[in-house]
Amino acid sequence: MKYYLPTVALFAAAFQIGNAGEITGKVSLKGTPKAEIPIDLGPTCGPLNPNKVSTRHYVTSKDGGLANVFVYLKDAKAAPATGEGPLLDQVGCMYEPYVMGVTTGQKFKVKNSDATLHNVHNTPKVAGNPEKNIGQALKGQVNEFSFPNQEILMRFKCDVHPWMFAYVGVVEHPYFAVTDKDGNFKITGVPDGKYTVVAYHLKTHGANPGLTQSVEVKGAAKQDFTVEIP
Amino acid sequence: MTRSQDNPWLHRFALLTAASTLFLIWVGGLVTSHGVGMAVPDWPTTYGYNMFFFPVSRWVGGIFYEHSHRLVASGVGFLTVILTVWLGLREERRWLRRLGYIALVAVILQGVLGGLRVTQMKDVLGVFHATLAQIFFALLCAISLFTSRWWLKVSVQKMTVYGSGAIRYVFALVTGMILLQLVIGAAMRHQHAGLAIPDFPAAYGELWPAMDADSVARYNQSRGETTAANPITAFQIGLQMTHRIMALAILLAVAWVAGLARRRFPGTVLSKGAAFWLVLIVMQATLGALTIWTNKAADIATAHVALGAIKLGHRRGHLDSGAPLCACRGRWESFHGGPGRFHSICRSRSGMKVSSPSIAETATSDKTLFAVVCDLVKARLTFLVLLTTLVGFYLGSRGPLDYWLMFHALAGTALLACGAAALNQLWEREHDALMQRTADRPLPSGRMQPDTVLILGGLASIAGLVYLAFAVNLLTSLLGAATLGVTYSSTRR
Repeated sequence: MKYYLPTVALFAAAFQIGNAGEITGKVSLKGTPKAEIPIDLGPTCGPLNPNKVSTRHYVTSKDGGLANVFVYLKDAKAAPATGEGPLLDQVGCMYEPYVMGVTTGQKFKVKNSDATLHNVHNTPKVAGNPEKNIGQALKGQVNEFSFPNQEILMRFKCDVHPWMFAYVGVVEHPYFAVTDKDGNFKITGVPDGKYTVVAYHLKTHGANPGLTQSVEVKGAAKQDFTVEIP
Repeated sequence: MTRSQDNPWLHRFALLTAASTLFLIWVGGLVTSHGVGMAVPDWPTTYGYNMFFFPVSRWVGGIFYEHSHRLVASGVGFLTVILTVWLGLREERRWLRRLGYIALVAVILQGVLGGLRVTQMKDVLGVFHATLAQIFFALLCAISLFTSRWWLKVSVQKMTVYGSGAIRYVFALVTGMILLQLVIGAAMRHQHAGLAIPDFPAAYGELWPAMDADSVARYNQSRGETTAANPITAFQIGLQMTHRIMALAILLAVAWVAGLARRRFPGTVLSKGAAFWLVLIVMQATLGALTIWTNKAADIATAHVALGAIKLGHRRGHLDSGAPLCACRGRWESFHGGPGRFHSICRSRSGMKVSSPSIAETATSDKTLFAVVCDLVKARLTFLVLLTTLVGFYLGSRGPLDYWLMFHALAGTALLACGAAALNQLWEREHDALMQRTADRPLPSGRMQPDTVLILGGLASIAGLVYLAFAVNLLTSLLGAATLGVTYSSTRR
């Protein structure tokens, strides 16, 4: 009995690894987007952020990779979150990251890392996901959020600084990813099977559902997307 | 305490309150133009502080605008309290004292609406808040006008000069159009979507923009917003097109009225006022165009809002001075048609000297059936009940607003409120006959018979209750029945 439970756990883990694959790929942008607009941080936020900041509608790499695309499996079974979600930070009067994802019911924190006041105001569109507006007057203040229903994407904004906004994808399962600065993504822990992969870029797709591709996962799969500017 | 119609310092104070309100509308406009209405999440506190002790060092970013708006609003509220008390103590004209009470109620309601807009996070409350702000400003302009010596001087003369003719209907119609235009403007601004159409005079390069889903998606994709503006929708594009068409219609109508006034009443107050009105409209149209050409620069957009308020205030004053009109004549007309007429009515009824025979004749003329029915169902009170119902429905609803259910709730409540008002007058008819204020109601004045009122009031009440039960829900109907019962029992003596 002493060794029974660890052994079972080991077998279970091995079984899980053996049946969990990953989907990797790259999202590229076709077409030339409008130039991003510089943001004036003003007298309060300027000293807090030495970088030149601008809008982040189309963040692309030199080879055309498109960042901040939310990629997720459309028809995977709902699965609970494992652990706490990523941190949404307000730093240098910008939300970081610009796009991220959490699982339904998963708790995640939103933090004020600046020595100035911010407010955290999410504006859900799906019924049942609560709207909150919380003042964060102190540096280091953290508030916790979680949402019961899937919503892609939910906006978070700071009304004190109207240029500050970010988006959180809330998905019923943990099989999602956000493309990095080179447009690459990796969805891990995907059980073998056939899925529809969705690549959604907010500025391009808006109210439309985004690009979809059917993918069969057997250990690993690869799927690239090309987002076209209409 | 002596009362008088000539209180120059009261008039100056009313002007100060009106000017402060215009400044408040300007600051409030800046809040929306900068998109920072939610920058202070709590109310009536500010980031946990008593709002009057919130440290100046923390008035950063959008907080500066929102917090300033709250402080200026507190100041206007304070001024309005003083104005109401002052009117109550020193003003002779009862209807004008009542305007003061209405102003006080309006400013309190306005403050609560502003607070609820923040705490309830409902954009539509912002539309009500913005609209009531404009109406409140117009009300203060009217009080300022009526307390002036100039008004006393012209109030009798104006009735004989301008008291007839189609021009007054046009004045009233265009004033109504301006109010509607202000509501549309407030609705546009409180969509928080920036410019739904970025070009002018064309709209997305066309005379009429494409509004299908693909086109709207294309518009959204090509926008370069720097703030967290909501995506635009076909509805918002339609709203802005309506605003543009209304602007053109108002411009043409005012130009026509100004020309008419100049021809028929050359060199008079009416003529000059109409010309000034046209200047304001042209300025406003220019500011509207500039709002688009500057990509909704906050100052320009705010000036557009403030000038809209001035226009309405100017119209309100002008309408009162030159163009009394209302479909419901009699009390309604005397209230809205200007104090000269109302004053004459009071004097003629109390046996005092009547200033002008023509005015006295107008005052004692009988009412139309529509006016009598308006009196019977207490149209103004019922309208307020419906406004309250609307706000209550919105606050009580969860998720997307069910417009049909809202319509049913309003229709049922309207029927019930009308029925209750009629039955209330039936029960109160003997007492109503004893008091001057109520003696002109349909039953004491003999314009309607008790049996008729019983049938009309009973049918309307029952219809309202049944309608609410089937179209809304049983609980609402039962609550309506309980309210009717309370109304009945509380009026029995």
